[in-house]
This record gives sequence, structure tokens and C-alpha cells, in this order.
Amino acid sequence: MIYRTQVKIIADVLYATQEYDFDNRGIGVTTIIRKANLSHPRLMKILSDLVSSGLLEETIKGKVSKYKLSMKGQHFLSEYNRFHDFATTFGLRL
Amino acid sequence: MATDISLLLIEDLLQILGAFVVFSVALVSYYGYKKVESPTMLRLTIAFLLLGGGFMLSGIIGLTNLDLQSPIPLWVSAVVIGASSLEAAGYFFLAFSYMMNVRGFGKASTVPVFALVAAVPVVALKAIAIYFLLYGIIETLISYLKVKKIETLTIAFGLVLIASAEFIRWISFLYPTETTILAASLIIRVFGFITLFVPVLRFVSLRGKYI
Repeated sequence: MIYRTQVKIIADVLYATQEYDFDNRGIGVTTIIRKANLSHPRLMKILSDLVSSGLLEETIKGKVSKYKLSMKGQHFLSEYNRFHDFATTFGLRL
Repeated sequence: MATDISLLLIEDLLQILGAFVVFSVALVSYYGYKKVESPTMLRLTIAFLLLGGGFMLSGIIGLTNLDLQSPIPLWVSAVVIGASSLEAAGYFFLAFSYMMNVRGFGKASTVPVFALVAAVPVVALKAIAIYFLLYGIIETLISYLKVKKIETLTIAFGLVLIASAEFIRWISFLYPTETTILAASLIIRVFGFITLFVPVLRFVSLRGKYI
């Protein structure tokens, strides 16, 4: 079995927030769990890290948190794509 | 027909050229590590830095000691062994990158690690370098079968050329007076690194845009 690396998991979370944010107001935790294929506790830790590092923006309305990809997050994803391509050229995974 | 000294000079200059090629791959890998903090990029950076260091050291020590007669001073031998160690370590990190990627973290093969124990003299280091390279070639070819990218095949071909050059260089230890074998191995190796560098070129050209 091939495991996902931490970088790949982060990229999957960021992709999910980018791809499924149809109304540009962010997406909820449940959608990210489903699309990034992560458990709730693990995702909450990752979301906390991503928000504190500025890759995601969190908006809280009542008890509901929504997450939106920041400019820094978009930049990270474009860099990820670029170096994913580089690693694949060497037959490696990021 | 070139003299032995001029062949050695070409060999050493090609070593330094190879070092610059390898350092540029290391630079792109380092940018990758800096941007996405991927351990794979770090391993590639270390691998190519060590390889470049080994080539650079071999080239410089060769250029500064072209007219040396036997017996070779102890410090020169020490530097040559040091350069070979750097190369073998570089190939090890390259192989290690594939081990980590293909096997998963818990199942990394211990075979290439085991081989390091025997690494002391230059000949043993060369043999180990070929061993790591063969591992890298096999894994790259397997990756090519999965991703079907021509760039991956190009990298595999580059590694094949480098491995062939290392093998010929290893043979040259059996025939120390035949400098043409050495020169041939180095030329093949430089072609190998150029082949390795071609797919990387497009990432170098994009550098100014992103970094």
C-alpha cells in the first residue's frame, strides 16, 4: 500500500476547498472530509495548521465554520503542481 | 591522438561541467523543497548536492594534480576517496528517494542500506554507486510504466548512461594505464547528466516566473 505524504494530504485539502467552493463563500468541514478522504480529528488539526499558516481563511457563522482558499493557498497549490510535475519526471511522488 | 595528460585534463574538466549540471538540478529541487516543504525534494536536493560535490572535488583534485607521479601523496588519495564517498552517498540518496516513494514509509528496503557497510576503498564505492544507480533505473522505469511520461523515460535513459559510465570507470581500475577507458566513461557520464538535465530545463526556465 502506498501512503499519502503530508504534503499530498495538504494539497488534497486545498484542492477540495478550491474545487468545491462554488459560491466563493468557503466550504464546510463535511465536504472537505469527503473530498480529501480524512478523518474528522485529523482534518481539524490540519485545518487549524492551514489557517494559522495563512493558506486557508476561516469564516465562522454561528456554530458553522467555512474554509476558503487564500491567495497564499492558491500560490502554494500552483507551486505544488509545478513541483509535483518535477517529481513525477524523476518517477517520484511529492 | 591526445596525450594521457590532455585526456586527464578533459576528464577533469568534464567532471566540473557535470558538477554544474548536477548542481542546477539540486537548485531546482531546493526551490521545490523551499516552496512545498516536501521531503522528496529535500532528498533530491541532498542527492544532487552530494553528487555535484563529488564531481567538483574529483575535477579540482584532478586538475591540480595532473603531473603527479606515483606514489600519489596520502592527502590526494584521501580527497579522491572523499569525492567517491560523496558520489556514492549522492547515489544512495537518489535510491533512497525511490525507496521512500515506492515502498511506503514502513517498508523501505534495507538492501541498499546494508551495502553501505562495505564502503571503504574507491573501487568498493564505485561498485556501490552502480548498485544504487541500478536500483534507481529500475524504479524510474517502473514509474514510467505507470505515468507514461516521456520525461520520466528520458530520466531513466540518463541514469542508464550514468550507470554505464560508472561501470566502465569501475573497469578502468583494472586497466589503470588505459586512460581512454576513463575518458570514455566520463564522456558517457556527461551525456548521461545532460540527458538527465533536459527534462529539468523547463523547470529552470520557469524559475524567473515564480521565484
